[in-house]
Amino acid sequence: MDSLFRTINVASSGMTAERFRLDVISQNLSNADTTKTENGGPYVRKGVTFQEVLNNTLSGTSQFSGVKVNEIFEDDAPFRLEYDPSHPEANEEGYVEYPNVNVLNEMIDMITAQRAYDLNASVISTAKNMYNSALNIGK
Amino acid sequence: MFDINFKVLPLSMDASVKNHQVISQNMANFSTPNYKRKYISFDDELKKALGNSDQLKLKTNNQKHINNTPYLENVQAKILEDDSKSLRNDGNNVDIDTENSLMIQNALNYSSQSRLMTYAIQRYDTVLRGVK
Repeated sequence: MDSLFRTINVASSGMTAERFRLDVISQNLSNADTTKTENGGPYVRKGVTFQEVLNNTLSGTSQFSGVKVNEIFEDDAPFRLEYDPSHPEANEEGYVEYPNVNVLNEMIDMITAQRAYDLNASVISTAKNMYNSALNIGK
Repeated sequence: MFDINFKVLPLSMDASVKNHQVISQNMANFSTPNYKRKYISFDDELKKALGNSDQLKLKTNNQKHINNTPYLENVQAKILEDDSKSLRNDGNNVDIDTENSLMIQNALNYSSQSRLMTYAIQRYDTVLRGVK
């Protein structure tokens, strides 16, 4: 019983993490053409890294209890240069620095995040069905 | 005449109902700024009353002695507030996936409690009517 509930907790932590990844992806997509930020320069693509969560019990054995967002990192890939002398952000040679966001890659990441979210959701419903069949033993 | 199941199970089923109300409250306030999620503390209180807790018991041999074990009849689900921080800007710390999984767990818990209650009643039925 406890381990089935742990399954549900682990899967829900995965859902939270994937939803956070989707937040970051949507931030990247909406800033795909942002040429000016507070720090100056174009928008820098953000990414997330995940980390496994282990719960250390008193008996010394560590139990897995899901995933969490470890950090948001900034992509150090070079910016996209486009020739557009009339742009206010253009440099002396007439080139504008656009963010290093690749919209296609972001779309692929978005599909991956959605699939992972769905997978976690189906893990939860499987665990729920298992528990319900356990309840039907001896009925 | 009735065994302890008839005391404990209704208490925990009541607590499950209350827990469901609290979770619905959290979900309803998903977009309320500065709302902090609520949760229920019942299991620990019940454990104390049943004597299965890790907490040290105060020994009493007089009615006026201080007693730290609650009576089973007085065990109630307490609603507490979780004031942890979150990644959200609006000060709200409700995570919809966590609440959803808590709701599923609570529903499963309730099903098993009601099944246990059925069995507890059936045992008396067997005694009264015999095995059919």
